[in-house]
Amino acid sequence: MNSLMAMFRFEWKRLMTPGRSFWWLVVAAFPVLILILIQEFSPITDVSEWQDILGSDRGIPPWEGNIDAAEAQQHIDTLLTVALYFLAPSIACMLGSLLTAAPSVASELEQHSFTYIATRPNGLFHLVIGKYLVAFLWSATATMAGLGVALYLAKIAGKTEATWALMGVSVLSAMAYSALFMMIGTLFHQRAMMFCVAYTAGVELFLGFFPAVINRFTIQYRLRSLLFDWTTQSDEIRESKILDFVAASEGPMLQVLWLVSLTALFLAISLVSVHVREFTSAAESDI
Amino acid sequence: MPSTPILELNQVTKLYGTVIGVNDFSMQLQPGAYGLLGPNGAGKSTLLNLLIGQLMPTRGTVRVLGESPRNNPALMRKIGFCPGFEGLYSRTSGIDWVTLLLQLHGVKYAAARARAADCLQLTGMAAHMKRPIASYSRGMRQRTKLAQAIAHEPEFLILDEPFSGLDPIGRAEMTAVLHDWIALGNSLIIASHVLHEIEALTNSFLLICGGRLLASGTAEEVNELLFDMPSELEIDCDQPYQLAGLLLQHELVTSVRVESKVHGADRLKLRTLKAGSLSSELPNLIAAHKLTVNRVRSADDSLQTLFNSLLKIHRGEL
Repeated sequence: MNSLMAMFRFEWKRLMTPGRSFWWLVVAAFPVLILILIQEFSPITDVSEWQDILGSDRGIPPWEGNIDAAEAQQHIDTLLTVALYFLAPSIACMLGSLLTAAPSVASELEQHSFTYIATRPNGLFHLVIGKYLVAFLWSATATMAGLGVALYLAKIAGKTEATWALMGVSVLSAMAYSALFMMIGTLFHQRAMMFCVAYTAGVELFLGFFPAVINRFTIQYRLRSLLFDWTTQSDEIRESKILDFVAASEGPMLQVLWLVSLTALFLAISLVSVHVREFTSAAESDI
Repeated sequence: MPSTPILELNQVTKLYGTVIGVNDFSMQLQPGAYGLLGPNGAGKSTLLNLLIGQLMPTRGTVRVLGESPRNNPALMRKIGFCPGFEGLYSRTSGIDWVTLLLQLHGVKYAAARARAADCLQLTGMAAHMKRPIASYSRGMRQRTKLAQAIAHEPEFLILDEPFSGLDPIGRAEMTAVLHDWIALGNSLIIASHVLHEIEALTNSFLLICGGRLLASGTAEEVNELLFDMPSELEIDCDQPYQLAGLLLQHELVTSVRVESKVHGADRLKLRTLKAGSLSSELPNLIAAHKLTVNRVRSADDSLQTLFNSLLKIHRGEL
């Protein structure tokens, strides 16, 4: 444990550079800025606008009275919560994990520092897990900081529920994505970023929304399921058949178990990879 | 009871695709200090990577201190490695880096920090250890690398080109540190392509080229191996042309050259493929023809020439 904490502290200290801090701020600012733009320039966060939209959808003429304001607010809450989910735990957290976890092993090999760690007792275990913990903490804190500010500014009525749900999903997102990118970065260390971006676009963002069994193996699917489970949606969304395809209904514990299992699997593959493969810094590549 | 060999390589071959890194390499080394000599590309780094478990042999077995080095945490506590490349974190200070590597051995922070400071002082880095490594000269980086290798007090030190980039004073200081290390009864293998760096530390050599072990032993033992190998001799003689004729007549030499000496005696420079036969026949010829020979010496008695001869034999040039 002492060794692992030493590696974690060392890597965390190395991460505290002006350049990395700037990227931390970018990741944190991303959901805040987009939310401000949505609220300032889009009419969908306006209660009266929603009353008109809902009334029109239901064929109620304006002279027969407005839709209940609380019901309209529920729609705004749902919309903003889903928007913040995509902005923070989904995109910002994914980006943060990508920046920190993906190049972990590749950077050690490129700067020839890998061998010093590899020749320590369980050095590669400490390297992978230590860097994973740093990536997790870095992306989780950036996401949660941005999310905190965004939730403060958001015109959401039920903020307590949204905050707990989105913060919880953000932590699980950082946990799972950091492990995923750690694994891809270890398996394909020579093109780590490229493979991570390709995997994210192809699997998490495309297949994750594919209404088939395949999406159940993505992190997005599990995070989305938790969001819908932990938050109250408008009647229209809750009763929508589409929800059956984009989110699971088995309950939050199973989703958390899935995410923890995927994280453990990704980390196990990373550890096996660094222990089984041959890396020589002299050749700047594995042989 | 015989001590455990520090190294045992049994028919080890390492292939990088179709390129041979180490070729059917077998040896067993008892505790001590050894120099691993070979030109660039000889397979030294591949061999060292096999010893620290970073590479797996394609064929054969490697054992270090009686254990397989691949993914062996217990063995990693007993060996210290100083690679030929740098690979230091530029923004980190020397003491922070050595402290981290010690903590990875399970040493607590305060003890690791104190030990790191001691080792950096030992390698002459006391004044610079708190500066970022980016500001270090090449020599300072070498010293820092040596400090991390010895900090956890390993039984067996593996050094790859540790003198690279050091100035003469730095070399002398590094040599002194390693001398002390050896004097404590620790084992060491030091790879270099510069012979005199190793000569200053040990008299036991492993000469490799093309991934093969050319020769091993002390300088004298390796010389012995070359007893009947091609070599060059210089003979100061009063009748050089007569002696040259006799040697050619008896087919003991392949070439002769007479050089006039300023100090009087002429010098005969000859090359032979039968050094053993020449050394036994030469006294008879001198005595039978009443020649006056003032001095006989090998033209190539330095270890460097010895090494060059082995390489030439390996390449088929001799």
